[in-house]
Amino acid sequence: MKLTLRRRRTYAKIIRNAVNSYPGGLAFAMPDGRVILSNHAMNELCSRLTGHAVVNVYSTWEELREAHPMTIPKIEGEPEEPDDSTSEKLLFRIGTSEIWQIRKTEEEFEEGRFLQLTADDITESYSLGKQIYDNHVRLTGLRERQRTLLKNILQINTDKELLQAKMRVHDDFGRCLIATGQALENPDGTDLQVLTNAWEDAILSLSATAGLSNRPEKSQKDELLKAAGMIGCRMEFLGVTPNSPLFYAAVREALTNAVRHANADCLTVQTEERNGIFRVRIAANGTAPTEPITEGSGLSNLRMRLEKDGGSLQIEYQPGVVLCAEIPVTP
Amino acid sequence: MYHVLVVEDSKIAREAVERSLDRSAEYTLTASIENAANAEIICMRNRVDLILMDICTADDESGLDAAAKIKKYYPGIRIIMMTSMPEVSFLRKAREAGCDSFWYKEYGNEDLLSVCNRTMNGEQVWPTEEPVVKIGLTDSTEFTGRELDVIRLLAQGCSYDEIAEQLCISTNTVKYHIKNLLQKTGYRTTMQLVTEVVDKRMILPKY
Repeated sequence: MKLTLRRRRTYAKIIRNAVNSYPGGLAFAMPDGRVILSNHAMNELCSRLTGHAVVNVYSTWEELREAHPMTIPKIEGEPEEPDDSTSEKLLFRIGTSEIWQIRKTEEEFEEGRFLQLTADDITESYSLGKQIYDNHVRLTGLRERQRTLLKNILQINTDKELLQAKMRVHDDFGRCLIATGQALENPDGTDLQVLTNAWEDAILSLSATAGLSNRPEKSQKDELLKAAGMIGCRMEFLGVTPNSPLFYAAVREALTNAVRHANADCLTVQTEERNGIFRVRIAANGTAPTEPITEGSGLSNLRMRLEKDGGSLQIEYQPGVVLCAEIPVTP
Repeated sequence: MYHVLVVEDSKIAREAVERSLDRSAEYTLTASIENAANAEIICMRNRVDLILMDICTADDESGLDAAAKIKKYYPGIRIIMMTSMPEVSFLRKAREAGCDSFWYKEYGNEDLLSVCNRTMNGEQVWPTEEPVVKIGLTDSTEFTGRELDVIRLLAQGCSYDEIAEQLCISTNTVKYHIKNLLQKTGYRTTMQLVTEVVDKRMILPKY
């Protein structure tokens, strides 16, 4: 019996030495949290963070939670770690440069359960992960800038051309005015033909600039009303009309369908705005369909365009066809 | 007498087109509009024999989409596409939309009225070559079809992975095309390449 006890003590000593020689922190506890074994590294780490060695895994874990752990940088869209509800982890910066991860898990062993606390120095992998995260943030910013730049580049170029044209007109007229002023002060020393040519050039330059703007002369609504008028269809707009190409695409689709299939000559467009979303109902007179309409390519394309921008499309029968759309409009 | 619909959002270009038509007693103007999406509406109950259709029109509506719709419902209407943009895909897309003729406003040397006359006589008038644009160290004609696909998706803001998925190729193949594009043009980054290509209207992401 004595020999067995001594042997058990020897084994325990060997195990303790082995666990202490492990470079990371390691502790095992009963399911209620009482510690069975905790190595030097774990006790030292917990002492630095909570002021004492591990006594009870649960109470120590609560104290660790309040010892200002670091937040773990997370890249959006990155796959989640496998869900392990029995495992929790905390990250701590120790000193100026070391990063340690402490993980608490529930383990099973020979039909018994126990708690395990492990601590690992993850300074290098954390630093690499941080670099990846920083690069990801930088690339996301770059891509966003690229998208904005591409979106605006044509308008920026047109504005630049307009500005250059305006400066040219300003210079031409300025020179002509100065030359005219001099001519009035000294009529004898002026070549009137040169002055006349200068004014003609300036006026020509101004005429060329008049057509440079790429902004539509007519509003979307005016031209649509003109086109509808040319096919004998009257349009009534009730409510505020959003200045959105999607809105006019929906009205055009309803108009062409109503004229083509129902021989309509009046279209009523009702709009109502709530929280940046326009609810649009477009109804037409004319002959009502005898059976539900099949959605052709026009309606399908409109639905796709609306849904791509976060809107929606519905067809109602009342008894004529009513096109109902939700259109998000950014200010 | 042919009835003509002009779709053109630039006032100067529209007036120039109308002046060209005025020179011939064969043509009369049905309407002049700025937005291509309204062209189909006018065709529904008005006599239109010929449409002179700009590609990039008011409110970013595409003349190519409008032409395809009109050809579907009114195949008898002749359509001449017009553009001043050297966009490399416009010729192909105009053919796919079923257009009859194509006229470059700035690059071609054929008079618009002559293109109209030939088109109304049943001819299909297409430019023999597309405009050449200098991109870095090379010309726009030196890019392969696949390279143009890659640039177009880059210009739409797609990542390499998104480009690979859309073109059904691997990300490494996308990188290979991009490496070749940068070598050809002499640019250091894709940003420089895409900016230049869009700036010179060789690719217009919205159309």
